[in-house]
Amino acid sequence: MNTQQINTQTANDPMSDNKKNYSEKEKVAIFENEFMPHIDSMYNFAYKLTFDEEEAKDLVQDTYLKAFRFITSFEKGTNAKAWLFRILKNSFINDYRKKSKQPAKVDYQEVETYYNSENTDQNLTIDLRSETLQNRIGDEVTNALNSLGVDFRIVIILCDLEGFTYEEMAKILDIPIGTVRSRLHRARNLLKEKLRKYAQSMGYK
Amino acid sequence: MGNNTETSRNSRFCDEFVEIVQLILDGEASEEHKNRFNDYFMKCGHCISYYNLESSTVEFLKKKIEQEKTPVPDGLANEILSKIQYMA
Repeated sequence: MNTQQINTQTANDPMSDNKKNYSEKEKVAIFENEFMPHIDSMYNFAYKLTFDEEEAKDLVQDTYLKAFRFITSFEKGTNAKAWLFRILKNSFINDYRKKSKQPAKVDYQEVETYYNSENTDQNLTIDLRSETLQNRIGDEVTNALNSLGVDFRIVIILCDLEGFTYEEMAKILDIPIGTVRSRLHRARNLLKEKLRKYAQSMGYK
Repeated sequence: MGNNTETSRNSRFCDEFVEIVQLILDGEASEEHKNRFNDYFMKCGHCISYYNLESSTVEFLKKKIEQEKTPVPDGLANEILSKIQYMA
């Protein structure tokens, strides 16, 4: 584990500028009361990143151990979930992505340049109000989500599943809010495009 | 109000409207955005239909993604807690 790295990461975190003096008992209490309640979301996030149960477990465990080791950078009562997600995301990028079987990283700079230069295309809109269609689209959403590049998958999970605000996502991902917004927009369009193709294959227009 | 008054079904909406819809749906719209949204909404039938489609799509995606959550394996929480007790 690269302790220098996480020190730098936490030092740059506006949520953790000042080191706190917690007693051992307080540390355990914060850990149990503020960190552990997020384990379901953390595991799901880790699984959606790695697609592997064992790797997801290791990633969550490493994240929690790092969180405990650097708990003095966390201010009690603040946004624990965003803090933990940020550590998990950084651990994934730094330690796991290298050894995982993930396909090559999407060059999102290129995609975002494309996004910024294109006119927003309304043809990507798909009418999902039909209940019949909704019922017939089962695993397709998961398949479509899983087939997105990891950077796009992450923003969808953070926003549409976990309900993080743009500002929280910007902090978790270390990117500007404008990039959060455009990446999310692009990710949803990619998802819709995949679902539209699927709906068309079933005879829906 | 940009190019959103075009009546053709294949017309493109203003980039601004598309952006505002995203902000509205994500709960990120400012008062100014909301006012601009109402301006469009009151004047443009295609904007209304775009908003309805977009909101139902995002709602559907959220529902499906929520249903597909991967449950945390039994024992992981206890495993972590016991390591922490050891570190403390």
